[in-house]
Parts: sequence; structure tokens; C-alpha cells
Amino acid sequence: MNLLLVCIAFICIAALEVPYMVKNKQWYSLTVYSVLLVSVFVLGALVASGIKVPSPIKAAQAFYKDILGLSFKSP
Amino acid sequence: MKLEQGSISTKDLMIGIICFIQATVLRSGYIVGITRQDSWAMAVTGFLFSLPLVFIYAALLKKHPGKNLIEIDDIIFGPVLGKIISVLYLFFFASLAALNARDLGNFVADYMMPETPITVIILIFMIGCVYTLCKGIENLMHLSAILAILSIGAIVINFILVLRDIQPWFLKPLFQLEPMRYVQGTVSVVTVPMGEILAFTMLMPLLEKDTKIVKPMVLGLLFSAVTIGIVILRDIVTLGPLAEIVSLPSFESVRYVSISGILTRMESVYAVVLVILFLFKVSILLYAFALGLTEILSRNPRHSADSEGQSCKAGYFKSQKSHPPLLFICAALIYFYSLFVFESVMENVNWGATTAPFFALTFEFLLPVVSLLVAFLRGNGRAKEVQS
Repeated sequence: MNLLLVCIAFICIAALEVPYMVKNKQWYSLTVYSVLLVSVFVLGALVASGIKVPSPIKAAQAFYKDILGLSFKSP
Repeated sequence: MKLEQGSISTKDLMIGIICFIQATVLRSGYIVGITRQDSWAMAVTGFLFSLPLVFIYAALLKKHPGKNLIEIDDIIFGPVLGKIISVLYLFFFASLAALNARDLGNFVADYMMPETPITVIILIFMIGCVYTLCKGIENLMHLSAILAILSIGAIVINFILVLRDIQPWFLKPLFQLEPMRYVQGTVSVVTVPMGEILAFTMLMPLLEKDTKIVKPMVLGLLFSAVTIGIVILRDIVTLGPLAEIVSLPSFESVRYVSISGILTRMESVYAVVLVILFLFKVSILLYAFALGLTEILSRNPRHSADSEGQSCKAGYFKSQKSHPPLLFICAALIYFYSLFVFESVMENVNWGATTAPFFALTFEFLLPVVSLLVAFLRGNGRAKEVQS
């Protein structure tokens, strides 16, 4: 159900922007837009399916805390 | 894009900065957890130490008038390294937007609508942000005056209404904590609410020509510092030791308001104001992210245009609308990012108290300083070539 909602949402997003690009023959824009759309759709599908996606912020936290040693003590 | 230079005045910029910082002010619990009864002083030290950031941003923008942060990176570092640094800035803006959206979702889910899934709350919130930006960022900035009056009015009225419940001895003992706590508190205030005005550097091309950036930024930070001080002071003298324990001291202190048993539940006013301010803040961050991504992915970026304000060149994302072309995709990305950014509120709080200041300092201080240095050195190098 969640996956279906994500699909519908992305079809709506594509419907808002893609016709304009096709009409004006903006092929480069359309290519880049499509790549981004598919990437974000895959991310959304993973999140909607309940698959645990690694958080970039946690990676940044581990980098600053464990590698650089830059972290305050917990109050 | 239809946006033109001169869409936003310096007054709009100043008030926009006030509104931007207010969203974090009303969630100042993280500062009280660090410096306890002396947290009000962090507003003063935070303001003073954030001034160098303002001067750095102003110097960069003065050297490259009419350009936003992404364009400045391209000019200073070249097309390849400039894009790498710009991607880092975009990661920062996207992370801030996702974290703030998540904060808002947690607040509404915990305090207002506990039976509503957080996914739905954040989704509706992001739709609101997208709608706001579809109507134009300049309209949002013009509206910031009303938002600022609303939020400052709410703070003042709430302060007056809790006056009879205050206990000034909760401020004692003064400045008895270990010095490292004051350093941590100051750095937290400088980086988390105040330094995030870096996002406004993406709006610079919309400012009037020959605008002085320093004055509106400094005044915006000054007013924000005053409100931060007042809010934290109110929370401490109302809640006392409880201020360190609760997650939202401002929310809890406003709950004390009860005039003759009639004027109660003022925290609902606080909640509405907070939601509106968060909408403003996340909209600015979303705009910065979407515009930056558009600029990076465009074949012929805006700054290579023949005339100022001309944004439709061959290969550039053309849009007849007043919002960045990649707005919807960026909003979807930030929505999904906010859902998996942290698994729990405690992880978020821990991040904010320990590592977030250093993470933010990298983008708010280190990268702009390096950019300014490189720009200065390249400028000197070119001057010597001309002389020889």
C-alpha cells in the first residue's frame, strides 16, 4: 500500500514537470530530471517498504566523533 | 525562472533572518541542558561569536555581487572543485531541512496529534513548504514581516502572562559551571540557530543591487539574540530545575499561563506559531537545496549569462514558474530523508548536543573561510600579473 502511494506520488510529480520539458525539447534537462526522479523513487520505495536505509547524518556523526574526535560530552 | 534582482529588500532579509532563527529559539531546550540556569547568557556570547561568520559571508558576497553561494564556489574554485564543494553545501542544506522537518514531526506527534503517524505529519508539512515556494520565495520573504510580528508578539505576551509565576532565584548560582559548558553552549548557539543563516546566501541574487549585506544580517542576529535571551530567561525563571529535564521548556513554561481560569491552554498558540516558523525555515532550506542542485546540474549555469538576471540559457533548466525546476524532487528527497535521518528522538538530541556544532562549523565557518582565503589569494595573484 505504501509502495503504491509512493508510485502514485512520483507519477504525479513526473506529470507536473515532464510534459513541459518534452514540449520544449529540453532533452538534457529531461535526462537529468529522469535520473534524479528514479533515484529518489528508489529511495522512497526502500523507505516505504520498511527497509532500513543508512542515514548520512549518522555516518557524519561517526566521522566527526570516532575519526576526527570532534564531539562534546553529552550533558 | 521569473525571479529578478530587487525582488527582496534588505528589510525583508533582516526580518527573514529573525523568523528563520525564531523556529530554533522556541526549541531551546538543548541549550538549557548544557548551561542550565546560565543559558540566557549564551544568547549574548552566541551573538558576539556569530559576528565573524556574518563578516565572512558579507566579504564573500561583496567580492562577488549578485551571485549565490554555488556560483561563488564555481568562480573561486573552478568548475570541478567548485562543484564538489557545492555538493557538500547542498548536503548540509538538505540535512538541515530533513532534521528540522523531523523535529517538527516529532513535536506535532508528541504534543498535538499523538495518534497521527509522523509520516503523514511530515508529508503534509512538506506539501505546505512546496506550495509556499511555488507561490514564490520573494512572497515568502515579504510575508516574513507578519510572521515576525506574530512570533515576537507571542513571546512578549506569553512572557507578560507568566510574570506572576516567575521565581528569580532560579537564576542562581550565576556562572558556577565548568568553563567547557559555556564553550559548548556558545558554540551550540553560534552554529545551530545563528550560523544556519548561511542558507540566505542562496537568496543574494534576489536582493536589490548594491545592497549592504552586513547591516541586515547583524540586525537580524541581534534581534534574534534578544528573543533567544528573553525566551530562555522566561523558561528558567518559570520552570527552574525542570527546564533541564523537559524536552521543550518553552512549551512547558507557557502551560503555566492561567488567567482567572479562563485564559488557559496558551501552549496551543505556541504550537501554531512554531509550526508556521518551521514552515518558513524549511522552505528557505528547501529553496537553497533545490536552487543549488539546479545550478550544479545545469549545463550552462546562470552566472555565465550575458546579462544580469537572465536565467534562461541553452541547456539550463528552463521554467516559466517562480520556483526552482527541481523543487518537487528535492522536496520528495528531503521528505524521505527526514523519515530515516534518526530512528529516535534521543539520537537526535544526542546529535544536537555533541556532534552537530562541529558538523555545522565545517560548513558555516571552515568552508567559507577557505573560500575567502582562496578568493583573496587569487585576487592578489591576478593583481601581480597585471602589474608585471
